[in-house]
Amino acid sequence: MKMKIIIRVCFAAFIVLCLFTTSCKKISYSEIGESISVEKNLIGNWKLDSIIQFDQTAVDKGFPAFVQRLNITSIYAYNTVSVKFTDAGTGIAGTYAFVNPGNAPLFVAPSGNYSLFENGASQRLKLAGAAQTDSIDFGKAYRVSDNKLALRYNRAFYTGSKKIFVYYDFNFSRN
Amino acid sequence: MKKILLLITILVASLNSFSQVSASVSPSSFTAEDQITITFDLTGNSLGSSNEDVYIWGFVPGCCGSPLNDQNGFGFGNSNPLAKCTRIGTTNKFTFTLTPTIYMSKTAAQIGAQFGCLAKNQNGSKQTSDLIFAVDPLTFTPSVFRPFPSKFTQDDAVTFFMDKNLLNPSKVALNAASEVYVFTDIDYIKPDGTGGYFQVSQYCEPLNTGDGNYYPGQTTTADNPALKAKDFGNGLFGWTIIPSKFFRIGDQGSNKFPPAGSKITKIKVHFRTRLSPYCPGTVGDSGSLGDNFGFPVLQ
Repeated sequence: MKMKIIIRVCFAAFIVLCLFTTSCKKISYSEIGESISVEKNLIGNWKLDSIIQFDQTAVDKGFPAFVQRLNITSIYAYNTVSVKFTDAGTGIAGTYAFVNPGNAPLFVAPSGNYSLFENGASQRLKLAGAAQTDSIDFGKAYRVSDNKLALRYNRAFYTGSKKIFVYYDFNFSRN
Repeated sequence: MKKILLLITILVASLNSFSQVSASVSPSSFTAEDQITITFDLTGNSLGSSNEDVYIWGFVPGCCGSPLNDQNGFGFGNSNPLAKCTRIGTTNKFTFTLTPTIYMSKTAAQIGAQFGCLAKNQNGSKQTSDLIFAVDPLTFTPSVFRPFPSKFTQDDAVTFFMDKNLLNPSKVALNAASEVYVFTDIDYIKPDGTGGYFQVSQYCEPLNTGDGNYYPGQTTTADNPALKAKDFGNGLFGWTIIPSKFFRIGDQGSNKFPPAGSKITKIKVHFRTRLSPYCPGTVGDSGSLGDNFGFPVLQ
């Protein structure tokens, strides 16, 4: 009987010890870090690092990488292209202007007004020039501190529904 | 004892509602873009017996189900009539024909290597086990000439590639050439609906300049850098243009240029050696010209 009591006391002490050592232990989480804000990141001067052209059909079919994409950065004078986005004060709209001394094909109007808008779950960028307006996707959402910007220009059919067949990924770094 | 009997009854009932069946697909080897017919053999199963309708429930393992499964208010407990299988005669065998990319509303790359389905009754109280079929990958077939991208508009950057590794051995000079040039021509439709033709080539080809040809900035037979293909290495040469700009649509500098609003319907690109076989005074070589090939341009 005495032995049973000793075992019970030891077991209870063990449980209490476990509670002290585990339940009160401070759990350390990694830092959340800077939040992603495409509208804040967009503002500023950007230098074009690369432009990659994609064949959506080849991507859809899972063809080899060399059939899916082509780096056309060196084919035209993209290494001299830069763009500046200036916030008009709303945080989601303003003006933009490309600098393109080598006359590299940009596919969008060289300057005009920009605005951000929601398209379902994703945010898109509207570039409205004097004679041309385009809707651009963000190729990737970067933080301001990443100093990077990725814009995607899509070329699509509109036969009832939108079917993209070519897209261009513009990869910028902050100037 | 009663409890044991009840347990056995539940076990038998659950086995019956989750039938093991055989299924086949025709053709047995297929890609995600091929039309296939799946045959469910439910012989000996209660599913499908007594004229019960049978429905397909398709999915990509590890990904997602077909929109046909549960869109428009339908679901596992209320099958879509469009998913109804066809009974073979008076047997308890059923077929369903589909093309995976269309049926799943996914690309071949998204579907990957497997397609799965099961057969069920309308309210989902009876079903087969999952049936998984292997999906063959789509294969890219290399060719001597190909455009990148495969579909483009006249305002896109397009690169016309020639792979010398696949070039006909009879093209001796072109095979041996370290520098490759092109000449090119287009068919186009003017805004008034009439057709047009326009060629851009070396100055020397042909000498008659009254036929719509254009020799960009050339007054001699010197090389035209605008017509030089880039050496991408390993025998691959590519020539990149933005068609509407290169063919000067709307440029009023010459009446040879297509008028504003013209739409290119076809581009032909001809690869050749540095020295044209048609230039007077240069070495003609029947092996220097690449095959002609034309690409329709999306409107």
